[in-house]
Amino acid sequence: MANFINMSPIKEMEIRSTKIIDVVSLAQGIPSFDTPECIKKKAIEAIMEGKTARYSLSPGLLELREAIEHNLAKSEINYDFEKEIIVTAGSIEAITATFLALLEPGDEVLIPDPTYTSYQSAIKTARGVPVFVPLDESRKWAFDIAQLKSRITEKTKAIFFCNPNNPTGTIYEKEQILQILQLAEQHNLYVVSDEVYRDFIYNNAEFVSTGRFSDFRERIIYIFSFSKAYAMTGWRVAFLAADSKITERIIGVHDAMVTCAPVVSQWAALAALEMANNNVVYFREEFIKRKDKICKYFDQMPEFFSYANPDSAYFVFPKFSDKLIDWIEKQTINEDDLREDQKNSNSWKFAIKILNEIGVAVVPGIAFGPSGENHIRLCFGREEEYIDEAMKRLTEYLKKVLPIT
Amino acid sequence: MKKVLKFFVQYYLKWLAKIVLWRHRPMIVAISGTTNKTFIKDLILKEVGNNMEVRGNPRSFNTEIGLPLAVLFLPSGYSSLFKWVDVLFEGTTISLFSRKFPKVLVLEMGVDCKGDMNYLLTIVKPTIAIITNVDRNFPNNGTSINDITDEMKNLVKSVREDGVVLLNGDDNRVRSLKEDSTANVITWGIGKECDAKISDIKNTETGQLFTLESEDRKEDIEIRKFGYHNISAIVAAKIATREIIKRKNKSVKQK
Repeated sequence: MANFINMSPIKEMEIRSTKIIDVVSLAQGIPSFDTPECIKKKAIEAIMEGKTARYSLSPGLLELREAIEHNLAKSEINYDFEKEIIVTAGSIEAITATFLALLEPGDEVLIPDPTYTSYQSAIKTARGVPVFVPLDESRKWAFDIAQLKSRITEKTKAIFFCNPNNPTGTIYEKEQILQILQLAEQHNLYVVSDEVYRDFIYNNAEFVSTGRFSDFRERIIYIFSFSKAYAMTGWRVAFLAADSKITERIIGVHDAMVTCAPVVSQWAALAALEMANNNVVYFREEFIKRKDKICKYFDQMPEFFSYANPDSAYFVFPKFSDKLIDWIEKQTINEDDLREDQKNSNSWKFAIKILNEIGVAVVPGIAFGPSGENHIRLCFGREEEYIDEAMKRLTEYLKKVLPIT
Repeated sequence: MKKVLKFFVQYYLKWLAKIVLWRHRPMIVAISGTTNKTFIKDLILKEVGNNMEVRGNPRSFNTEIGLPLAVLFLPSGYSSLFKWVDVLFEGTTISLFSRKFPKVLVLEMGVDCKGDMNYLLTIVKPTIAIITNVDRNFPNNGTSINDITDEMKNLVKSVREDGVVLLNGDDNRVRSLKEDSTANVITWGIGKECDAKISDIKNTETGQLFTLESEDRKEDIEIRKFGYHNISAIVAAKIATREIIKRKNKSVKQK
């Protein structure tokens, strides 16, 4: 394999954390909730009624795709379920299948910096080249359209982003999305929008889906996963929606990769759309409480971190203060604990140090792109007691090793 | 124990629904088929809702327990015994004492296995039946595509002579059900033999354009939706709305 793909640093941190006694992990973005009862019950019924033993049609169950079209239409996103919606084995399969279908080897895909780590792997899997476009941290990690424009080359094939963004919790403004689409139109690029966190919006922020810009539908690939909204990360079910000219190309790859998404998960996803809206509202309310809790801890540590209160998702992405950077740079880490490419990174050093010394697992910011260096990502999707325990350990530790003078 | 409770809830609700329908005698529009039921139902509700009081069932309320719940306009108790006690109490009150009730009920009828339709037809007697398509994508629960066609046949047969059956002329299995009806049958689709003909379909950036010829009228229609099934849904809903209003006007005149 010409292009070695490392395991996602998020999963790497989760694996490292399993070896630490009494660890508290805020690393992987998993909601603490169980899948709602109504979904589990419908999935069990589907199994008992003999509906899950065989493949579904490759693009997915008719009933599910129809429900997806119906659901999207409520948000003024219009796709034809018969030809333009494909149910996938998680959103990462949707993303990988999309790039395998659309990219030629060496094609470039512009991705925000920082953004979700596995995007790089998905693009590389399709023999593409991820090209980072730095976001503007001073504007709550907004897109810098001039930066985006400056990175477009003859090889650029697509612009790919997560909206709302992971790890920053940024919601890209309507005007920015429109500018990105216009840019894509000028340069004949695809726009891939992963909207997995669209149900968790806070601080009265406004979210506008890329899928609503129907004038640009011939270049948009809309992706949504059931994992986060319905606490179904283990079911591996998501979907993509795009103009039929695009889905015609993706369906063959999807068929070659997985034949169809797990059928039992498809029935569960149908139940989610039909019955679990109240659960999504409850999850959102709980996440708001947890966000406020974790932000309170960071508000009490301005000498160590600065951060933007996230408008969405369930992550905070605090930045190290100069004082903390000075201290990290003086620290030595066991040679065996870091790979060569991780040794010069403060965020890796800090993440490993707090994992080894206080048993708190977080994700080093550089995992999300170069602009993520000197940051860490913490997931507040976990239980409140976990958040309290992790943040107490971190606060006490930093106050001990870096006493305020 | 759970099975006994489910059996009790199912039959109790069925009788409550039958009583409320007997008391108020609304016009029933039944929509069945593998897909496109919800789109048609929503369009009918929107169109007819401007003229008279009408209600439909939530998408998933279309089976042996869901249908009576929808008729009675009640939520599900899901897995909670206490919630079910509340639901049954409220249902009893609505069934026996309600004064207001919609003039038209537009109900999706979900059919999964042999016998499902006959059971649903013991609860409701449709004046108008709409059948969208017969397709299978999980042919492994002992029910074949032919069995599902037979279930649709039962719906067609259940409509009395003064009712109307709307069949999707684009689906061979559905079109063949015409022979089984004693009621007036209207077919819709792109086929030349269809009573309501769809032609000249064009895709635009924002949706679709098409021409509809029905009852000596020809009109161009633009919709902001993609996919042929949305055209099919809008045509079925238009015919159904016309038939509902026709029958309601007729019953007003008779009074």
